[in-house]
Amino acid sequence: MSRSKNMFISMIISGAVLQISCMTTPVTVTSSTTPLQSRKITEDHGRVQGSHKAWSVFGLWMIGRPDIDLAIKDALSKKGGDALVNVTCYERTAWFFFVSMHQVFVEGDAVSLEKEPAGETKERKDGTIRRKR
Amino acid sequence: MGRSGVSDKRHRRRLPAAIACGILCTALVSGCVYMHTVPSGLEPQARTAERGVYTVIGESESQSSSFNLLWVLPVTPRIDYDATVSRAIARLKGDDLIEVRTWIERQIWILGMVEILHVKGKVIRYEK
Repeated sequence: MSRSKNMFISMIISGAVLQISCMTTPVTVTSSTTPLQSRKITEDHGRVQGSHKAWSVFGLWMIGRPDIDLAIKDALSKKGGDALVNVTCYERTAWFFFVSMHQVFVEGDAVSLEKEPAGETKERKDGTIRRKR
Repeated sequence: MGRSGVSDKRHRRRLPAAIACGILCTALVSGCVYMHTVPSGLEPQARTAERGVYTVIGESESQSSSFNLLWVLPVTPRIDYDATVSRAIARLKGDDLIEVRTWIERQIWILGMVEILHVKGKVIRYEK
């Protein structure tokens, strides 16, 4: 009885080791998330990381998608700031038996940008914003 | 009493397998055997800056797709990043796209594979 119990436990552990795994894939590296020409960085908030994840059934059908946009928002919400500079982006996939998790990570330095002086930025009637770079 | 108890246990054991089988069969009957989305890029702007002052017109998204018959034989033109960016800009009649995010959706069907490139960003217009 004890022998069969041990065998059952070792089978479960070896099955889990075989089924649970993960993989990291680089997506992109970029200087910033928004154009910075002629715009001054007023404050560096430090390195931040943000992520967003989606799940897939049997590793075949994905529900939703890992969204870079939401990962950037998540990163900026940690320490504040207007944009990320020195950005690296990668995706991590992890398998757990019948489902897999796909998570996109965005890492970068959160920075605040100089607010444009009055007159150079104006909100128009149609909602568009004018910026000087 | 004894017999019905054994039957109940058997039914309970078979339930997860039946659910898994049901999901698989539904997916196979619908024809889509694989659906996956991969983020593929993040850029501050799509083209080189022409002038210093610009107006942010709004957010725009565009797609480009291709179809491979029997998963390997291309029967439509390949996905085109440049044309997709141009379409996203033209949608709001702007000059450039900033804060560009791209991702590729891949769907494998019984007859072939569909690849869709999505490009999303803010359309800007340079001041004259």
